[in-house]
Amino acid sequence: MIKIAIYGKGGIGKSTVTSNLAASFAYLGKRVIQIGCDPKADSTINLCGGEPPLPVMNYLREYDRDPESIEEISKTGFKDVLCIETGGPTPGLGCAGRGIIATFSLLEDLELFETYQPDVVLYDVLGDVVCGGFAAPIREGYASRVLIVTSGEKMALYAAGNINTAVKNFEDRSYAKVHGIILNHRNVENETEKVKNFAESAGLYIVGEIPRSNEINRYEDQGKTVIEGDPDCQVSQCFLKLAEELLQIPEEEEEAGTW
Amino acid sequence: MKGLWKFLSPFAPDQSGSTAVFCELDGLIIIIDAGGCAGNICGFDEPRWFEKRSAIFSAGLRDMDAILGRDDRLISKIKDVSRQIEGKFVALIGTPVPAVIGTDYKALKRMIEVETGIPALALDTDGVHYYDVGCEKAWLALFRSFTENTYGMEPGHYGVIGATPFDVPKEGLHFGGPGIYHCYGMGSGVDEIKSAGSVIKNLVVAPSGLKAARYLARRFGTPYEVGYPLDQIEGFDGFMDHMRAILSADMDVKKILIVHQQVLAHSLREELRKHTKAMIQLASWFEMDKELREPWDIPLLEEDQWIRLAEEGEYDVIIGDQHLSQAIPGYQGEFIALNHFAISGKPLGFVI
Repeated sequence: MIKIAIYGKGGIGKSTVTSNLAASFAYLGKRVIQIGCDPKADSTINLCGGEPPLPVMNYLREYDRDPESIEEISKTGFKDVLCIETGGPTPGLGCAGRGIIATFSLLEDLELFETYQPDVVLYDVLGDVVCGGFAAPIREGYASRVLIVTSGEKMALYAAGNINTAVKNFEDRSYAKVHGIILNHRNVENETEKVKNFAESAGLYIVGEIPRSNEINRYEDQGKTVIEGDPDCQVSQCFLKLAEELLQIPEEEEEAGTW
Repeated sequence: MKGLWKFLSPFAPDQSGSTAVFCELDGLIIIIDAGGCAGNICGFDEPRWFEKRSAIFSAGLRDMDAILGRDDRLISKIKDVSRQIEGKFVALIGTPVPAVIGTDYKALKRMIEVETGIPALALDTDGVHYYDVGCEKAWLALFRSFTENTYGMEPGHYGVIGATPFDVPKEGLHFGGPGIYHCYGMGSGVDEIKSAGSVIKNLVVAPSGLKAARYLARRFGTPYEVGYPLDQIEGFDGFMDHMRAILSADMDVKKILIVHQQVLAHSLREELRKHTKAMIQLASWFEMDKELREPWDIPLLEEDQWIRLAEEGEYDVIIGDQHLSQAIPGYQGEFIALNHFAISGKPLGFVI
């Protein structure tokens, strides 16, 4: 089982990258779960035809009890990707990080992995590693690898640096390790060079490059990933290539978190 | 109304249950709290605190520790104390504060083991559950962590699982037959836990011990038996005399309710069934295992539910902690007190 958490600056395209990766893994015949860990609860929207599942926090708010089955808090999307959204509290109230931890604990109680037996689990995490709750996806037993999405924009690279440092600080806790950078192009001047320089200084590799593409926006308007919309187009091929490469990592290394 | 309790005081929470399991085992017990939980555990829920030596500490969390996530300070304190007091293990006991801020217990356990070289256990108790849930987690963690592989059974040796002051008033439970009884956590130490795979049978005296007994059954093939030695309960003979009297008299006893921890209540039901054909129901505020549960048994969740059950259930006799009777002034039958430390802080025993 491959478990990956995807981090990056707000608005950089994490949900787009995550859901296209989920769709790619599923397109390649893998059993996939995507867990959106953002209070906005829109991570899986393009895997579900524009209608994401009922977020776990909304369920708890509405029913005031724990769900008894995974089905109550999930939705099956493109090529059977199981989609789950943590959701969050009313904006300005409560604690979103605690919501993520509560959701993970609930999914453990419902034996999600044992029941669903996924090949790939993707966690789409809100922005930076701002507190313990937002580090929950990289704790022992959850994701073992982190992918950082960035463009060549200064603030995106700054956030990527912060995320990399935060994850490094968790080394003695046996948390996930940073696997590499996904360069999501924004047509910034000398973009590839800027990101390459950053990667080199941070000791990281660029493991995937997503070109700027109107296809992504076109299919998102239809509530689809580009993989669902046109698996043969150039940008889809980039996602599929990345998914294939991620699947090459030997399982024992994955489980041991040696990346 | 859900969650509104007007008569009954809060029962012992899970962090007290976990601490009770570890209390006598010569470990360093660290309650991850600001101080209040440790105060309640030692001052109210752990009678041995005043009688025996036990290394129980509060982490002394402060606001900035929670805000800044200063786990390193906690590790440093534990390292410091482990240099001064020799502990066989470190047990971290969760409370509502770390539960709310999402403390990562697995990471803490790993860091403590690296820093001190002492095995560590971390329990994610949260103060929201009752003592039995904390006991259950602690029993399971102990046997999983410390019980060593064995290559044979030791004839005549029995394990007793589930004993803490919440359910067993004092050391030295007897089970009638010959043999050596290792009552884990009350009168025996970590060495007995290590060799728990070699006993010929485990005796489970509280529901909190069932998961651990099943774990040992899976791992070593050790059979287990569930039951409480009723003759060890203070006032039991007087209670049985009284029951025999009312059951043999002209009083028409049709329905009896026993409210207690499920294993003890189950043994009591079996005993009473030798003397009456009355319907005997069990109710419990604590975990009820499927193995012992009959279809008409009732898990209790709310005070309102308890009041309705007692006052409208047409019971001729109710047996339960004296404190519970305060909530049911409208009950018309006979209430026989069988105190439960986890409910009222009064030691186990019949009050006739």
